[in-house]
Amino acid sequence: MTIFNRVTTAALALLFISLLIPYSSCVPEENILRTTTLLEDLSSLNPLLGNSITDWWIFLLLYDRLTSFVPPDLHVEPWLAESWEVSSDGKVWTLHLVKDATWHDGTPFTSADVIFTIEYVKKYEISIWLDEVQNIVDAQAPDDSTVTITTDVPLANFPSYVMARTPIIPKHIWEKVDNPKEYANENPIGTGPFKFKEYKVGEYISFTAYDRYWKGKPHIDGILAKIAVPADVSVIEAKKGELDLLGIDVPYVKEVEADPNLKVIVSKGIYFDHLLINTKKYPFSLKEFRQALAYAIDKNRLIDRVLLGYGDPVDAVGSAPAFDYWYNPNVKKYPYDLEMAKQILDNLGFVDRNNDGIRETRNGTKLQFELTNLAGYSPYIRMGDVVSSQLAEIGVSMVNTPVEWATQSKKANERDFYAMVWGWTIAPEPAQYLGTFRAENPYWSAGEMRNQTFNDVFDAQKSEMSPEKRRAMIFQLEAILSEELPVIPIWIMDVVEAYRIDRFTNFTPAPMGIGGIYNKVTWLTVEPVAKPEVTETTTAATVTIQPQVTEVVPWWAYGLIVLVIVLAAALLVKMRKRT
Amino acid sequence: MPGSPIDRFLKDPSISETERQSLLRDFGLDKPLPVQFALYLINTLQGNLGISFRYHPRSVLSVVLARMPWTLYLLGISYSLSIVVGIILGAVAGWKKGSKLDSATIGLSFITRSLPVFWFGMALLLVFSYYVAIFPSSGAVTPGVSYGSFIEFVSDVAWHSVLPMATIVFILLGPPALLTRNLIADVSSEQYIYAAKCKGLPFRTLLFKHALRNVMLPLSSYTAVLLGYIVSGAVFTETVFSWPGVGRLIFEAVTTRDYPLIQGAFLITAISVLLANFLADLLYSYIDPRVRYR
Repeated sequence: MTIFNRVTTAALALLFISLLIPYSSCVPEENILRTTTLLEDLSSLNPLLGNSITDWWIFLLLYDRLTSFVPPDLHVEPWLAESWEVSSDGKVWTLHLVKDATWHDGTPFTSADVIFTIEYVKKYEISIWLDEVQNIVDAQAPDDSTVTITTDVPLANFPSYVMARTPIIPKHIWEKVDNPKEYANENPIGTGPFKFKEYKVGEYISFTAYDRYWKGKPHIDGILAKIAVPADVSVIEAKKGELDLLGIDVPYVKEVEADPNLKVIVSKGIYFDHLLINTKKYPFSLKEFRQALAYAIDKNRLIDRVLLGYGDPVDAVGSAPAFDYWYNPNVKKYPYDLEMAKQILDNLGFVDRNNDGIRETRNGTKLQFELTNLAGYSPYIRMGDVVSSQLAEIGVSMVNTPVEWATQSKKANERDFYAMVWGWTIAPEPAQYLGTFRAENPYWSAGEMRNQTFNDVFDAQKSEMSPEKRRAMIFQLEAILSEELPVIPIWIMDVVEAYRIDRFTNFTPAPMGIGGIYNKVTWLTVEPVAKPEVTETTTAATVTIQPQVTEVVPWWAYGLIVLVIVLAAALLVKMRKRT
Repeated sequence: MPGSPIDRFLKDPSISETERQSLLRDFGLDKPLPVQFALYLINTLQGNLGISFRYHPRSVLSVVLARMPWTLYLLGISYSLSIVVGIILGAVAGWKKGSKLDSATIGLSFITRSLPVFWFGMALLLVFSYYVAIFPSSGAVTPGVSYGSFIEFVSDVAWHSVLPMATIVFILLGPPALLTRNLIADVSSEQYIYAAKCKGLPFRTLLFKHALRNVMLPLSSYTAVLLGYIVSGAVFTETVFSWPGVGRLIFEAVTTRDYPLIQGAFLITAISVLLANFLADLLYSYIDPRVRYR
């Protein structure tokens, strides 16, 4: 045998043997809930920078806000601020903070942290939280657990917008950071129920329960979220017992339900899918025309065919059925009625004059338009197909045209479309979505409806401090939108998840699901299924791993590559010499 | 958990005008198009491939480099194995041209090359990770585990590598096998082979020391070109097995519209293909002294 043969044989033997060595000297702890972020890696551990859904879910675990959205309908409740009063002019808020909250490094949480957060965001113009704090003109801390905030105008949504969104960051850490927009924050310290443990870039991120959490230690020991596991593979892993909680696509529901260890949970969604209408282009500028289209769209059939029933039709434009406090049940509705739709079009003078199945206007223009759609997203494309065929029945031809996201975005910006399949998150605070109808900025304003009553009422509700009166105003806004139809509402998709009932129980469902970015409470209620005997994994428990982010390539990896190249070169030299 | 694709890109529906403007400034998107292009050229020549939209403020270069070793490891070994196994298979098949082994090899080569990579990967995963649960279904390491020693880390990675490597090796068996088979089939009728046969040399020596040596040239050019794709050639495999390499990075960048990252990764791939071709030329002259590199 040549030396080469011997080396190869030895290397292969070593590889084979190494496969047999048991690799886990540490068994993962029993009560760590393993989940997945599906195809989404996080973008940053810095709560002032991270802006993807995954980031926000992580900040939900690590950080607290002054108030929180609470199941079952995500209404606002006190959190770090356990109570508050507002002055009679609505501009001065006195917040009483909880007294026993601590940061993950043990430092007590005080009012100084709140003041610092507000001033820091303003000073460095942190874009994602700037809107929340821009109305604050003064913030004082009369003592360690009281904060007085003065705003320039009365803000009705102070608890549900300003207090509910900005995560409070620790002063003693961030006062040393003078470049927040570049700061990686690799060891995030918050007051939240979970501490950061480890982040292996592209692989997983893990958290341990914070035993001194002011609301009480979570019942599970930790959370591990695998990153970018494809949907199909995650179902396999759940059935194998390697995943405890996951989001599933509707086609997998039957298979998952058949597994005795998995339970499916369906929660209401908050992502509102609709047809965005360009009300500047004729005939979409005619309210009656838009209403006729609404009558011709059979939302229930759409949901059954495209979503397999996993969704809710939306009637009140501006809110979501999940938020039943804010969802107006008495708006003008457009039940599926082909005759009504046809009659409206007849009255408008849109008749099929040449028998080609498509109506024309009085001067002969065909009612044939492009229905701009998003390429690559199949629920939208299928929705577009069905809507197309439904509208064809009343003689309006909407051609389903999927385009790339960048193109669609450009068309929306330049108002270069007639109707577009579109979607928007409806936040628990109603003014956020409703505000897009008021905005002057063309990219963010929906449908460009200009209705003076709407604008007046919207401006008024901003400062309406009485909850009942404000609710009535919000209802009025939804009624106006549902009458005017600058967008034609279609559906809100359900969020379908599954979890292992043999491992964990007592999840608290909420709109957007257990893994939703607003559902904090579930992580305090979930608990392991009681086992007769808890195996003491002392090795894992006592090893204190320094919180770490590992992605820098170990030096030996480069050495290995160099070694391989050298071996290959040596082989070549040997071969050449033999020629 | 699940969310619409637009969700990921539109950070927040209530983003105000001030926020949007400051973001545009950060990325230089407020400058006129020709200026942006000029800046891009200048920056790229200096090695600055920009800042990733999603991993802002990390630079594209750092993001790609951080993931590269995983891909190099995966593809380095898979490519080498596929070439070695392919060559051996093809050589034997070509030598015994017309035999059952020959037709089997040709058939196998075509079938494996035509299989969709992600389908094959998922099939392997289903069989060997679910029905017969020997191998793990995702990742390069077991999550949340701390290792007692370096050997344990190596064996954990090795255990996770088997299925992705098997996928790539199987899919890439075809081209080298077919190429070698045809070359050997031609060479086997040459005079010097006949002379060596008459000398009574054993089959193995004939094939591997005499015939194969002389067909190394086209084979090494195939190898060199394949090497160019070592940076990003496993997009599907890495995605299916959640392997944290450059291939999956590209996939994620595409789904989240992270344009600087996509551009940067493809640029690096293009450069590595060019480098590999250059190396192939150099290799020619080294292997065959009759060819001089001018």
